[in-house]
Amino acid sequence: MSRGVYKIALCAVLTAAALVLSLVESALPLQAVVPLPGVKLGLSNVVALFAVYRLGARPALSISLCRVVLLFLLSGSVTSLLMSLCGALLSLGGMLAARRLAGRSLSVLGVSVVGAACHGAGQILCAMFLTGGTLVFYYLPTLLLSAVPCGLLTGVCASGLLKKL
Amino acid sequence: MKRGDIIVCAAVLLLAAGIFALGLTRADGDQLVAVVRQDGTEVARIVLTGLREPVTVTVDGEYQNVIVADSSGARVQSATCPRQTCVHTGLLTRAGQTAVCLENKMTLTLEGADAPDVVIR
Repeated sequence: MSRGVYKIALCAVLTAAALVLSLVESALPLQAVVPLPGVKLGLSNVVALFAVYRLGARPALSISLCRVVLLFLLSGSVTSLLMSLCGALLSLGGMLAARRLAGRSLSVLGVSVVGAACHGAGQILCAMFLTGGTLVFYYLPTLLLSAVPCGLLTGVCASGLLKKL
Repeated sequence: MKRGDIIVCAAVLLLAAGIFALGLTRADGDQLVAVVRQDGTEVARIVLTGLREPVTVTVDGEYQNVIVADSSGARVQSATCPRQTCVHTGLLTRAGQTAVCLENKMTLTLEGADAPDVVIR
């Protein structure tokens, strides 16, 4: 199999995995335990991290974009499409930047936390745009607070995955 | 886990604390006011302090939010939006608290309008 085809197939498999993780996550009753809108584990971040470390920026971007669009087709409204698009793009940008700028002093866990925090920031930015005001900005601390444990969790998963595969 | 990871976690937590503190500082005031905005423009402003009877405000758009305010606070009582996030936010009682309905581009927020200290005549 040629390298190009191999890469496309790998990206497709990872997109499918990320999509399934997103769907599984939306089925988890996390909102019942933590009744805060927007707080979630971010399981598909495991795939994004894997792509960032193994495949590079462009494949990681295309996997994230495909996941967001497919998730919209499967479950979403336009509002949640915009929210997850902003979150995914900022999260990916943050992770790529963190790895490039501070890759030597950061492990997968740190990069994952950066990604989770940027995801929250992206969602807040999108919500500010949608509501046309700065009020929702003050919801950012909640998301940042949850980004640390959730980012560490997905980081642990991703570093395990990177070691095994 | 490297040292940089811990620094990143600490920085995120510090940022959260900073923004939270910023939110607290602008939420002071003597009078509690519920402000309803849709798409960024103010559609209703209800002074809650000393309110005798509950006031109901209906916000129409793609969906509908029914907001009820009384002297103790304000809440989105019911909404026709699919997610019901605004309803689940519950009763808002302090300045700075906000209920958001993204689907209807509606925000309900409590603000502390600064009452004048002294009025000189």
